[in-house]
Amino acid sequence: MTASSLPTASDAFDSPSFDESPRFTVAVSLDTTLLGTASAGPLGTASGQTPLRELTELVRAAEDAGAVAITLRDRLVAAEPDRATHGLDASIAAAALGPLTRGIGLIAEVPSAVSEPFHVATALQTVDHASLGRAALLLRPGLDGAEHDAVGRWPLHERPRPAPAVANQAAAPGGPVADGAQGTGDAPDAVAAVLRDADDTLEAITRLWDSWEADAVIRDVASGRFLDRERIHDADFTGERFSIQGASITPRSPQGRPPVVLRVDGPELLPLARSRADVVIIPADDASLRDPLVAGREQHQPTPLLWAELPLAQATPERLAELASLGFSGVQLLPTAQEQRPGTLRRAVAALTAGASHAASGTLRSALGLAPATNPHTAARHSPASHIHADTKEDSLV
Amino acid sequence: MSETQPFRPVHLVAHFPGVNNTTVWQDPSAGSQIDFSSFEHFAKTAERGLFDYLFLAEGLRLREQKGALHDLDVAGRPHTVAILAALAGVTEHIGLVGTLTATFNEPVDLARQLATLDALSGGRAGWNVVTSPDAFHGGNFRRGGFLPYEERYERAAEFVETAKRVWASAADGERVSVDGKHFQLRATPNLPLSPQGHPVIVQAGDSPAGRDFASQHAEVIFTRHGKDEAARAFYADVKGRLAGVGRSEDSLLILPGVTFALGATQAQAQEQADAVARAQVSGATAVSILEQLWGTPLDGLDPDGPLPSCDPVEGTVRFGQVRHHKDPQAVADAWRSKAQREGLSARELVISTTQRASFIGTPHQVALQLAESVRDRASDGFVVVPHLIPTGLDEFVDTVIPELQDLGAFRTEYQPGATLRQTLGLPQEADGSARRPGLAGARTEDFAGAPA
Repeated sequence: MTASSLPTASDAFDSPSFDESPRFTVAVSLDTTLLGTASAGPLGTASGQTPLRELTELVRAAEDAGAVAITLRDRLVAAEPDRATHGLDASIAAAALGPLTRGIGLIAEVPSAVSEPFHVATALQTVDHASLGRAALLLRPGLDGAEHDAVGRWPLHERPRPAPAVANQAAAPGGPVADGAQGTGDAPDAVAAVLRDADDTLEAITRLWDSWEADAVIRDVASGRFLDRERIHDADFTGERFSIQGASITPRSPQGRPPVVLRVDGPELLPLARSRADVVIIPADDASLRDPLVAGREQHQPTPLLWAELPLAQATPERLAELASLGFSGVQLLPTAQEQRPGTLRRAVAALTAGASHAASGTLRSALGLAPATNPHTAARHSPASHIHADTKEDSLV
Repeated sequence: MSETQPFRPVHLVAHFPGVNNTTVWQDPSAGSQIDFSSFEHFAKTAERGLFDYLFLAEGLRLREQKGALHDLDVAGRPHTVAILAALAGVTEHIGLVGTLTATFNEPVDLARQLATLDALSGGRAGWNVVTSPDAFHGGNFRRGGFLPYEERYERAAEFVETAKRVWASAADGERVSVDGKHFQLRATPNLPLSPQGHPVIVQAGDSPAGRDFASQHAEVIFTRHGKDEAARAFYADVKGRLAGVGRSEDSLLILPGVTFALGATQAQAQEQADAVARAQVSGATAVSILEQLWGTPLDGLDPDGPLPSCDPVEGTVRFGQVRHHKDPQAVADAWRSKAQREGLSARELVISTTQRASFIGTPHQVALQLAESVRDRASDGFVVVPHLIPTGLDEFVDTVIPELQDLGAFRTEYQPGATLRQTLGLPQEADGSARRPGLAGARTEDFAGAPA
């Protein structure tokens, strides 16, 4: 397979195995603002649960019932500007779940544009190490104005700033973006900039994940060398608005490249999803998003796995069969606040999986039917003509 | 032992072995530096030994020497907060403290990550605040080397103040609004409430700016001044500053980083210390250390031959690690005369100048030295730095801890449900942190001196 026909970032130099109709999988989306994280008492919540125990029981319920993964949703700030919430940082919570679960995938949501690619890359590698290969990154293109206000930059240091004297209203210091969670409104340039930044972020993260070859640690006592420096590679990435020079600080993780998940709720996200995602999640009923993605699959173009997101109450075996016939390869269930309980989740997921565990005995990639990620640097050592950094994705976005 | 207990309670911190030549990877028992099982073994051993907290350094960029990756030392580390969170679920009592830069993070984001760790661990989180303003580390981050060196602690102070407001906002629900020099932000909080008000603040810088920062913000200082006269002077200086900023002496713990070597006899312990020092300096490592002093590549230098005949030059050959010799020429001259006098090769000279373990002796002797050092106010305890991953703490826990307990200088159990701030015996903060019912006012003294 040549570099020009790479399917996605995650399958460089390797043939995709998921076009052999992968198994239908069930994932569960969790909202950590519903946990007992608003209590500071010694035992956490009123029920005597600590947040970690409460979260672990939820995830184990999904795991025991055969879910392939859970997604920890995340926002840097509260969803509503006048109502504080108590959500957990998803990557950090996913890391805590790693040693406490056995086979379920741990998908952590991270907003782009307000996050450092280097920190995101190493955090997900660490989740992958701590879970022995069950991490996944749900990158949410950082289009939320309230999140940009929380780092005081929009977009990415270039937000026009009014003079201090006029920045005195409830509005953020940046002016053009409305305060709160309304997002970017109709600022197409800003949307395009954030989408390009998300694309650059995923490229930088992928390069960091690949920066250590699996056999970089040699422990050669004779020469005194711990590392083979020829097997560690700088990210050497220059994007539109940032650059990342060095290698990851974290050695290659069990999956190498944890799956990249994108949640698509508008057509502007389709190019990014096609070129960068291993898994794309769309609303179950949105044919305008489903059709182009399924069409690509039918034409044997490289296409990510497609999951339908739907309320837990609507998920019946019949509905799942219908979704499978439409080209979906999985569902992500959205429980309500009332449904986000261990017993409810266990029953609901078990009814859909018919007791067959989708959780992995190995990595999340293998549970999803994704081919093992090959390190392009390692591949290049066997085929020196390859271009390593000629962009690891398929097509250009713009 | 008389009725009046002469020893003060010793605080102990378990430092996961770092990425320098203190950590011996050549030993047959050395394990993975990155597998979770290594961190789990180390953390559980430290908790078995009733240590106050586990401590992790931070990596922002792999070290380079002579324009290439430095390949002689252990390298490769996890994301600091993420690995501590992973350890939260496999431990119950021990504090989890990570080093995190105030330079290449943003306050709302980092405060949330630390609050998440604090909530998931039941109030056991701590943050060692460092700065890293150089362009080499900046190369891995969006803004590059954006921060002037002299502003590093100004940003750190504003960062910590902002983070404290974010933590407080989790309790009061108030929107955070900051218009500072380094941060201008608006944030409606979405983070868990900290069981201890906010994570414990640790500080490690030794410069005047660092000491000023510490007297304002730090609850623990991690210092290099290990023991004896220099340590007592540092201790008196730092504790003496606290009254001036309205703080009590017991609101700040001073914990130096120390190493140890144990043996059944003093002679065996000394042999062990010498063996470790040799293992820490291979021929290649000796040349690399000389290159740092000489400020220039010394390719082809035979480590088993004499020191370089040329003189040191102005120059930096290593990036990503702080190492200063204020006057390289004077040091080089002193090393040459010592080598000539004692007939030492280059490598032998480097081994002889490598700092031997801070505490060398039988478990009883080491325990006694530790307890006496704390009693004599050279420190409030120690950050113990072992030389092996992941088993470097095993012998210390099995042999020194019981001796310390016999002396009445160390706890014999954890206080159930205690936060890290309570385990450290630190007062609750003026802002109302450490608000756990039933445990307010619990102090280290409560479990020090208990009969073993």
